[in-house]
Amino acid sequence: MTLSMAIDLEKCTGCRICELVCAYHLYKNFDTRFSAIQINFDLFRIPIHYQIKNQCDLCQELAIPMCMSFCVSECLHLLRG
Amino acid sequence: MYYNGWVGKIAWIDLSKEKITIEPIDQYKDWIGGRGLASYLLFEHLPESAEALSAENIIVFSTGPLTGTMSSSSARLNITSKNALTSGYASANAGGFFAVALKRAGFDAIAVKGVANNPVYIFVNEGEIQIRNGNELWGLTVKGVGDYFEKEFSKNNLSYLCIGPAGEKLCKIANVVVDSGRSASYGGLGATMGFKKLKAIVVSGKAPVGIAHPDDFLSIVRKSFDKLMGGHWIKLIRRHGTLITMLGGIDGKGSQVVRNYQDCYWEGQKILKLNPINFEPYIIRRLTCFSCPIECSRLYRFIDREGNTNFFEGLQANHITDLGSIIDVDDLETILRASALVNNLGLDADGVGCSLAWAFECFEKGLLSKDECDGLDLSWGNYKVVDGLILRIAQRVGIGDLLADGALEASRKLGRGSEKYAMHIKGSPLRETIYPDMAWTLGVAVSTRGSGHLNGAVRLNRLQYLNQGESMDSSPETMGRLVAWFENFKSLVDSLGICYFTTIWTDSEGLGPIELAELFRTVTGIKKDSEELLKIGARVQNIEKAFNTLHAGFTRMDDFPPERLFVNAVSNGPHKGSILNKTNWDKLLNAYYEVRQYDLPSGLQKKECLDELEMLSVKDRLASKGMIK
Repeated sequence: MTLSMAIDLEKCTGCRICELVCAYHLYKNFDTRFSAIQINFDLFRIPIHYQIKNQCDLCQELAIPMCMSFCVSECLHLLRG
Repeated sequence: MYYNGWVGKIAWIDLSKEKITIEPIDQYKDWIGGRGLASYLLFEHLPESAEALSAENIIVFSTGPLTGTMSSSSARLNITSKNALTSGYASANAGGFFAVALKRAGFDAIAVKGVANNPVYIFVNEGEIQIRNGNELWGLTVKGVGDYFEKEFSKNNLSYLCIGPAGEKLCKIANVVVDSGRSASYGGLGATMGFKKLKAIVVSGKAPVGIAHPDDFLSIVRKSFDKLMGGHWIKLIRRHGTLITMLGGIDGKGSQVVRNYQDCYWEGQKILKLNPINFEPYIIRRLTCFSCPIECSRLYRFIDREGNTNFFEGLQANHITDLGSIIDVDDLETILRASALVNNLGLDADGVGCSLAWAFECFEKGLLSKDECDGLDLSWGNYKVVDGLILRIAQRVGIGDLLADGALEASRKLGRGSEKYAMHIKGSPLRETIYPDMAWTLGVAVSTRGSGHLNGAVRLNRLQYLNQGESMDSSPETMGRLVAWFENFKSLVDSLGICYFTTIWTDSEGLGPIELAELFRTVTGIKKDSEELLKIGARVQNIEKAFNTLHAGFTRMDDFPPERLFVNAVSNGPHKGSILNKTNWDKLLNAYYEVRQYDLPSGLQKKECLDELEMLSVKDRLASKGMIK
């Protein structure tokens, strides 16, 4: 069974914290240009689409991926299979 | 050079000369950033002879070292200029994403002076700045500007701020709208931009903000998020948005502003009609600012009278007063529609509310006839005229032209004894609840931006942060200390570039000065303890006070609320019989001035106050004008 990350854009409120912690997890900085999770927003700051890049390792060493543990809108989900 | 916290540059843009100059941030770090940085720039560079609406005036868009980091609610943009309403200091603050984008584009601040020949907008793109032709934008609403940029740039993650038609028409109650729904109001900043023919600034930036100690920083952020989410008030705001603070609380037992302060009690059934829960059917999603776990904002949808579907973000708690109780309107859809309208036209709802309330009262008292009101019936509670009046203000048409510069200026133009119905402090609109906490009222009255609760106004139950272990009392001395402490604290918060909502001002589980010192250290690598940081807050407060003294000549008499509040007692409800008392207000001011080291009879700063804060150039400038004691 494989796991992958999915985002419910209807619930996402646009704080972009997931992008920040993802960059920290991967590179120990907060450069979101290289985050594995990328959400694009319109001029209302409403999320319109997202991308999970190959670098996403679901934070294997952690019980919960960092993006999920910081997300307060509970819009991030792990998909199984 | 590599920076942590700051990104290194201030851009000076002269619209008259179409010249852009870049200055390093380094020499200004003692003022931290955001409001502190901007206050210093304005004080140093703007002569007293400059009018707010002039080419000389400078408008500063600034961020702080925590802006754009993962500190909670680190999205704040400060906008500072000379105040079009008071002639003193103007400062407004907005969230969204703009401030973050500006830093990611490589700028801590942009300072704009001069006047463009034709309408322009500024495009900040990954370290480059262009002044672009804005003819096609002139005349557009806030939403229209967003639509234009979406077509023009066809890329995601842009952010913009702009003025609406009201700013173009130089309405002194016009604001600047950030990210289409976050308003930077107070001080007529929309008119200041409009005078400069600067319609908008649009930013695209992706570079990160450097963090000196990422591991320690993240650990502090984690703890602060967890603590914050357990807070009682934070839970309520997450559940209801900012509307939870409307009308003094969901149960309506707080103090209200009714019929232009004729009363501070509103009948219970009217309040219940505007309960936050009744707005929920119009909410289509929750929104938040960058790196903010509080999620106080909402996107609303409603159908207007023409049958068009409208989406807007800007409804805030103060709108329930500004577009409701202050003119006795309890119609929910009117408030919703009017809120969207002021936002889209670029008007400050507080300024609009005060102007409307003054006009309604003049109508009631026979000082304004129906003919003079363009045939509109301005009777208390007549919700049908609200939209039309707002449109008239933004376009400066008919009665709207009179109301567009705020209630004080309108009353001066009209005369007829209408001055006593202009509810203002220092010329800035007053629409604050007055009871029960005098610390709140005092903080509003002595605010450096003229009025408003976002400086030293504070609930008395925040006393624990002033003096732990001391019993709470409501003596003038205690309230004076409390307000002065929170003025310093808020100056610090605004200079760091984070939101007041995420601090102990809102919730005891929020960030306090010790946490802010830790965040500042781990982000910038500079170690300053909380007392040192609060001292910087005190310096910011004092440079703004000095600016007000030099530019507007404010003294003790300007720190008094309007006469009406000393005459009208509350008619009913939990605060029945409450009234301000001149003797007590004098005691309150004296106590506050003692803490601030201001001269009691005049309200001016004393030399020793500025000596202690090592503000010698400020002291000398005040002394050269004989404006220091």
